[in-house]
Amino acid sequence: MIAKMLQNLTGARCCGPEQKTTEQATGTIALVGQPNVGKSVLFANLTGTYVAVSNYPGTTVEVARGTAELAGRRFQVVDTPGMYSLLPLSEEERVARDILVDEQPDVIVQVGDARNLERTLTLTFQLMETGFPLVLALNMMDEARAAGLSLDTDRLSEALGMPVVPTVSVTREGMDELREAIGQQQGRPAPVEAVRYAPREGVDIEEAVQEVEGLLEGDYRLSPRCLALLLLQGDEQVHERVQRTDTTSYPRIAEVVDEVTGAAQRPLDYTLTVQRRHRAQALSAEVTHAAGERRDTLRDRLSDLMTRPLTGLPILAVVLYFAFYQFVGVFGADVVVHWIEDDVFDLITPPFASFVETVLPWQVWQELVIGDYGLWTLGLRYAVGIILPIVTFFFLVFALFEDVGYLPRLALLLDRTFKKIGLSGRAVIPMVLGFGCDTMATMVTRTLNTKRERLISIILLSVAVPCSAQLGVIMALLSGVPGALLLWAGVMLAVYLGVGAVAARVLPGRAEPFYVEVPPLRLPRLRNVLAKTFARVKWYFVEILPLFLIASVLIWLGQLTGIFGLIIGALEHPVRWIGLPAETAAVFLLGFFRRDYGAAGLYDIHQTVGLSGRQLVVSAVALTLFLPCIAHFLVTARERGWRTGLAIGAMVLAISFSIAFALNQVLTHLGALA
Amino acid sequence: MPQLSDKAEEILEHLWISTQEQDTRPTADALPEEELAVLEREGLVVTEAGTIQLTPGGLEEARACIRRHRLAERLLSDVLDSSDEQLHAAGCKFEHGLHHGLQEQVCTMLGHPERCPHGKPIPSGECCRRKDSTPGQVLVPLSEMESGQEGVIAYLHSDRTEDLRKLMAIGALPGTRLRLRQRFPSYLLRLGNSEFAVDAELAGQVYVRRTGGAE
Repeated sequence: MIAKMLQNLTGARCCGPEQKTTEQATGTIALVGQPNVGKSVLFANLTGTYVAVSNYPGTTVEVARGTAELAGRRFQVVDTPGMYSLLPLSEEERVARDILVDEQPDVIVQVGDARNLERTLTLTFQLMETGFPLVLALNMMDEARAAGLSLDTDRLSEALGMPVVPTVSVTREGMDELREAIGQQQGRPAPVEAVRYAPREGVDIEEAVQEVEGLLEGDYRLSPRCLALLLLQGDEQVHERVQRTDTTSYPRIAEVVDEVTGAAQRPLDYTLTVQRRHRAQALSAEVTHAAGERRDTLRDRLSDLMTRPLTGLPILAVVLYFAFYQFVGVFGADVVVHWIEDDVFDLITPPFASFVETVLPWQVWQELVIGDYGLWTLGLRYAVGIILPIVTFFFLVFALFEDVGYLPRLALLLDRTFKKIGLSGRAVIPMVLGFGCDTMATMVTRTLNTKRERLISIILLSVAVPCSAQLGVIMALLSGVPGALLLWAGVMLAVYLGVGAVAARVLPGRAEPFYVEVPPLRLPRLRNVLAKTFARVKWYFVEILPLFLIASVLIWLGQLTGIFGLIIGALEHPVRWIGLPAETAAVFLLGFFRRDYGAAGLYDIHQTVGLSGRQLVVSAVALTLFLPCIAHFLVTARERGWRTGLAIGAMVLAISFSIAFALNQVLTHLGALA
Repeated sequence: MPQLSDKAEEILEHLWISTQEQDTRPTADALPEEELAVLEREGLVVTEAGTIQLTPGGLEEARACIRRHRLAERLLSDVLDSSDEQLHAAGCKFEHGLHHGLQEQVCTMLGHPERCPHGKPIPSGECCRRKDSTPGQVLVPLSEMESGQEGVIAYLHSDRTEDLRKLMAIGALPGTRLRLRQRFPSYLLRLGNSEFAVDAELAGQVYVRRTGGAE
């Protein structure tokens, strides 16, 4: 789902051709449903356009659109974000609701989970109230059958008064029937009185609905019953709209709403949802036949191994070691990077350099392109030759875990620990992603629910989460000194937890209650994994590459104007203060432009000057904690504003040098790693 | 103190609700004179400038009446699955049977509920402060269930609408069957055929009628 979001983030400016196809469409079909029901795959089946699908719920922010030919007509198909109720809880649900209200679909297709008919029907009844033509696609029929459920869809269809089509979106089962049902359902509004609500606490809900319905005169597209119910539930957006349209009758409407809600202790949407649920339970029991009690399967037991601390934590350690350290770190960062550097770039660079030298006979301009930090050398070669393979391998592993369903399990395993540092289990995704690319992880913090949680995540990503590029070089740097890597990791973990604990105390607000759907474990589908990896790598290219090019220009300007000399001069003081030779000052400045270059520069200094074990660890700690790369800084400023961005920057700078100072003092006194 | 009549107890409840929950000044209008006189004689109420006031003793007695009334409603709705109308009709009779320590047992069996089915607060008793528990306890918050136990959600209770909506979103609604699969580090529950993880805070807001299934 993140891939979907990111794809749309970057795709926003290039939707010209898509616009064209939707203009030719003569009708609209909206796909609606709860998260994790296979809506996106069904969308792809209908439109032929692939959209990334993921197990982690609730993070679809953007909307995908495509076209489909149905019953001789061309339709625009809209894949709305996951929705639990018409009364929106989150930004995603608001978007989904707005699409229904504003775009007035010719047909709504509710994609529901066949295994959870009660839950599905609770939403169906609400969608029926909108008065739009409705088709229910009961998806994941294969899993329902595997769970021993048999559903009488004909009887369900008859009871609801609308078509119900059993589907399996991943195998395209039932797609023809679904297309046919959609075609036939055009112009046939769903029965709006799906549920008659019983009175509560002496207030007759139906009577109030009728009175409000009678007072609505404007043209709202949604059925008057649905509008009246939303008004009674206190939906602010709907209230505003009605107040604007029905200026004369609105005061009376507001009175009725007050009469209904004033006396009650609990929100009306709770009462209504409970009543819809009761109706859904009754109907579900009528059409479902379950073959015996559900037994725990091998899949459940595997899932248990991942979620119980005693086995889950060792599994996590194994996953980190093999998938991230061995595959991304050793194979991706070492083997593949060297191949690209040595065999590809070393072949292209010399002819390209001589070409540049002939075209640009001025040395200053040559520096800009092929100098040590030039557009070619730092910008392209670094971004494409070093970072790209590392992040690609990382994203591949990440997509694999996403597809299997490991991430929600990790979230439930870590929620309790995350609470102590002001986060909830949901922050697992940006945190793990941060080890790939902090910049992307910072953008993904958007999917967290509260401002507080987003801010704490961004601070932690800035301070103590090293990205994959940086990790590679630091490992190489410290591997020669016994115990150094362990000490470095220990300090990082301590700073991470310490900063989090302080932030959790200092920032106002409470830790967000944690809830997440834990979908069944699935075998990864190669197509999904590759599509998601591709979407993220594409995002990386479009978003990050330009930032490296800008960095090249800035370094070139800095050197040309002598500003760099001044900054390096100023940095020499704190660098000496933490017990490092003055030469390393330049390393810190460059580290800001390319995060691992700092570490690589350190490596060079180590080769020529020879640093002690203590100096190596201290400088590795300082560099990891030091300001994140320029791309990360720019994205933080864009996400949270310049003031917060600069404040975080200043804080990170202070933390990095004081921790390094303290570590240097301790190691010196102990005489360790001399 | 002599046993008060049902009508007298209802007057006390009425006075409690108007003075403690609605902040109005009740008058003697429409209240039966005979019972009012009994209450006055027992020193539970006084009439001041046309309005009726509960004395400290009366306040205590009224609080106990309200507690019994709302516990009776909970009992009827959670254990006997009564409908809304049945609640109103039977609740008023049932409460008078909850005297003499029986209310403590009912309260404990119901997991010390904080609100009546209509969402009004239930005054707490000694048993709530002691956090009594009993093997026969029918209703427990999800957070106190054992791993492997099964039950049906009886009701949700939360002071925060946003928390309530989160639970509604995952489909943790009254009448839904549930099985607690794991308690630590997060609560992992199977609702219907889906699984969800929630933290201790949300788990404490779901009250479950246990049906068995302990391992």
